[in-house]
Amino acid sequence: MSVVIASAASVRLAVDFLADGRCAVSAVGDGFHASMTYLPSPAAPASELRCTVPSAPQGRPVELVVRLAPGVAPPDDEFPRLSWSERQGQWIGTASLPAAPAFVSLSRGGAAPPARWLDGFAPPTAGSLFGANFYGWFVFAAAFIAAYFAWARLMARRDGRRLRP
Amino acid sequence: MSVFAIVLVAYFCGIVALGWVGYRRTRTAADFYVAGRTLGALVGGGTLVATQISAGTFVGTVGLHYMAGVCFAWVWPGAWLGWIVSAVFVAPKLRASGALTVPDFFGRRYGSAARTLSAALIVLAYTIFLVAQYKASGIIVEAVLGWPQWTGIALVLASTAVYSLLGGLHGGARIDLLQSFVMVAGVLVAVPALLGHLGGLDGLARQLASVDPRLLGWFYGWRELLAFGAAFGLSLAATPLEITRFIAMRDVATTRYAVGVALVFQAIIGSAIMLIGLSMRALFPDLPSGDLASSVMAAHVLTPAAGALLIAAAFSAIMSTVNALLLVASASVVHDVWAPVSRWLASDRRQLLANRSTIVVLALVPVWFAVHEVPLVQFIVLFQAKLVASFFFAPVVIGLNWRRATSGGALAAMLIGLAVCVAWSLPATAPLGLDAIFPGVAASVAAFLVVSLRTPAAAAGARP
Repeated sequence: MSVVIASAASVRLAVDFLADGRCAVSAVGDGFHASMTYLPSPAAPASELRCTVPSAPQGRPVELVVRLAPGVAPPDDEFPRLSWSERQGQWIGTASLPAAPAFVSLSRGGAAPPARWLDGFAPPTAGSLFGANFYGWFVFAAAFIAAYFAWARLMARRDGRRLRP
Repeated sequence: MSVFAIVLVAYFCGIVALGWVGYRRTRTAADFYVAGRTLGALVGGGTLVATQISAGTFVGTVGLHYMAGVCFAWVWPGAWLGWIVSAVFVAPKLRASGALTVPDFFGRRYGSAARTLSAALIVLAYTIFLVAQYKASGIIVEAVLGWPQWTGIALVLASTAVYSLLGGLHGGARIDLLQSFVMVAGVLVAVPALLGHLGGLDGLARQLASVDPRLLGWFYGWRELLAFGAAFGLSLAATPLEITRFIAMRDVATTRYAVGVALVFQAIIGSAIMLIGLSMRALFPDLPSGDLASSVMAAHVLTPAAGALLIAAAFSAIMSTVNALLLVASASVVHDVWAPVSRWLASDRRQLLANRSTIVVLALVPVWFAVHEVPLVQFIVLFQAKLVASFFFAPVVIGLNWRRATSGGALAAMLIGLAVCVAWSLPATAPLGLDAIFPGVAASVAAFLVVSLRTPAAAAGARP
C-alpha cells in the first residue's frame, strides 16, 4: 500500500527519540516553524516511546522522519506506520501522511492480544459524558435488539410457525 | 504476492464463485428479481444489512463520527425503527399482493401511470445513490493505493456488474451474506488496533477532549440527530431496495427474524464504525476531509493484513449496495416499464437478457457524475434517502394499510413529495431550520390523504 500526497506544500516533521529518553520534535513548512523537546513521562509504560506532535497548519500533507538513538532497533509496533532503513548504525523511519498525526509512538514487546483487548475496552475514567454516551449506546442497542427478538418470537408463535433459517 | 493482494484475490474469487452458483439457479425472471422467494432468515438478514450498509457507512459514517463524535451513533435507532415499520406494516401486505417489485405493486394498487412514475423515480434516486458508491470507491483506491479515482470506480463497476448480471438476486443474496461477515471481520480487527495506539477508551476520551470536547457529548443537537434518523428511518420503511428483499424471503415470519439478524449485524458494525471514526480523529485531528479517515487508517495505521481486510470490508459494503441498486433499477425499467408494453419481453429468457443489458447501461450512467467533484459521500446518501422517503413513504406504507387510497392520491404524493424535498434542499440553509425530510414527507402524506379522499375509490380487488 502507498500513501496520500496532496497538492498543498508539505510540512516536514522530524521526531528524534534520544538516548536519555527525551524526544525532540520539529515541524517546518511555508511560513511557520515549531520545535519542542519533551522529557520522558514518569507515567509512560517502559515498553512505549511517545512524542506529541505540535499543531501544524490544517490540511497540509506531512513528510515524517523518525530517528532512533544509535544502536536502538526498530520497534515491534508503531503509530503511524513507518518504512524503516538503517544509516550508519541509526534506524530512521519515514512516512508521507495526508495530515499531521497527534503523536508518534513506538512500542515493543506489548501485551498479548487478549490483554490488549481488555486494556483497550477498560471503562474510561476521564470524560464521564463520553462514558455515559458510549456505554448508554451499547445498553440501548442490546435492549432494543432483545426486545425485537422477543416480539418476533411472540409473533411466530402466534402465527403457529417455526423458523428454519 | 503481498498479503493485501492475496486477501483481495481470494475475496474476489469467492464472489465470482457465488455469482456462478446464482447463475446456475436462475431459470426465470422471478428467480432473477426475488430469488424465487426462497431466502431464509440468515441469508435474508445478511442481504438486508449488506444492502443498507454502503459506502455511506464505511466512508461517510466514519467521516461523520470523525467530524461530530459519539452522538452520531444515535442516528441508528432511526434506521432501525424504519425497518420495524417495514417488517410490521409493509412486508406482510406487500408479499400478499403478489408483486415482484415495488412499481409492480404500484401498478396493481394504483394503475399504470403510478407504476411508470414510481419506476422513473427509482431510477433517478438510485442513480444519485450509485454516484456516492462510485465516488467512495474512487476515494479509497486513491488514498490507499495511490491510483486515480477512476480505477476504483472501474474495479467496482466490473466486479459488481458481472455478478449482478450472472446471478440476479439468487447470487447477490448469498454474496451479501458473505460480505456482511467480511464487514464485521474488517471492523472488529481494526478497533483493538486503533484503541491500542491510544491507550484504550480512557486514552481515546482524553485525546478527543483535547481536540474538541463536543466530540464526547452532543456535537449535533436533537433536531439534527432527529433529522438524520428520520431520513434513514422513513426511507428504510419504504425503500424499494430493502422491500424487494422482503419479497424474496420464504414467508412473513422469516422477514421478521431477518430484520432481527440485520439489527445484530448493524449494531456490531455501527458500534465499531463509531469507534473507528472517533479513534481516527484522536490519531489524526486535522485530516482535510472526514471521508479520508477509513482509507488513511488502512494505509497508515493498521498492519497490511488488517488494512487489506478493512478495505475488503469497505468494498463489500460498496459492492453489495451497487448490486442491489442495479437489480432494483433494472427490474423497474424492464419489468415495470418495458415489459408491459412489449410482446417481445413475454418470455422469461428475453426478459433475463433485457435485464442483463439494462444493468450494463444503468451501471455506466452514474460514472460521469462520480468522476467530478461531489459533496461528502454521506451527504449524497442522505439526500437520496430524503428523496426516497418523500415520494415513497405515503403511497407504500399508508397505501398498503389504508383501503381508501387512490391512484390520484399516489401520483400526487410522489410528485409533491419530490418537488417539496428538492425545493427545500436548494437553499444553503434549510428554511425554518427544518431538514427537507420533514416538509417532503409531510407534504407527500398530506397530498396522499387529501387527493385520495377527493377522488373515487379504487375497485375492491385492487385494495389491500
